Amino acid sequence: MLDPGKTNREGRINFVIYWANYIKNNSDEKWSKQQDFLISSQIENAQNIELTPKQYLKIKGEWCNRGQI
Amino acid sequence: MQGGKSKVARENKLKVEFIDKNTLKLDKVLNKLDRFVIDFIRILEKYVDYVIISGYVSILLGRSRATEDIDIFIKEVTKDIFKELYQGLKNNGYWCINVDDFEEVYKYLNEGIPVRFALKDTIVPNFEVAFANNSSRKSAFEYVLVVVTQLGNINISSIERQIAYKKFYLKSDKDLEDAIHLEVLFGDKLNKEKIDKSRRQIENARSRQNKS
Repeated sequence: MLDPGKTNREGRINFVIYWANYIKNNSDEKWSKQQDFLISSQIENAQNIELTPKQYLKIKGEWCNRGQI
Repeated sequence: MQGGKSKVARENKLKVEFIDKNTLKLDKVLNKLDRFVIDFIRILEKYVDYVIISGYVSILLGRSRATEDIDIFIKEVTKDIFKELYQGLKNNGYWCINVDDFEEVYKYLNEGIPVRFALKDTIVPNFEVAFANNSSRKSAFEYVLVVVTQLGNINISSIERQIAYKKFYLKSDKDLEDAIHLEVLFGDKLNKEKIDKSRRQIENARSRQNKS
């Protein structure tokens, strides 16, 4: 039973615990197919973001010596 | 009847299993991020010892979230070996998104500054690579856990070190959730002394930083 929690934070933590127990109690195939669906689609979406290295690293607060690109 | 039920229960049990104290077998369906990591480390490990730390460790072990970057420590190597590694990555379609010049990449790594590698002309996902050139980073190599997957092995730093760093050092909501995930998943298989040792290493490193 997944308890939604009284706050967003509590709800998130409850889900983390629920999911870790789900992994422990279900076959690897069952949980990892769901993880594959979630992660692979997120990676595809992220790859569609058009940023230059300079723009990306600026967001991260990191250095870039690639001139204007 | 009862025998049948227990057989089903056994089949449905988590197959994350320790083969020995340093090896974990993981029989999951590998996702796009896992495959991306395995492709990269197959090149990396030809030239240098590596260990993966932080968020991706929790994701490899089932956490239901993605990440745009995978953190990797590599052991310090000479400029010549690093040049071969850098060329090996380039030949296999990767680029350093910070800078092209290998001399500059090596210089930054030596100064303790991480650099990011991705597939050429892409930005994410990427690998944030750093030399393990201080005591805190070196400690990640103390207990390396080899995760055996369907497509090959992945070296991660110990689960206990991950938990300690996330709970006592990084401490963001995301990091605390990663730590909870690992704590619930591994439960009594965790070595509390190792968590404590990592916590003390973090505190010592912090106190050294404060003094300087």
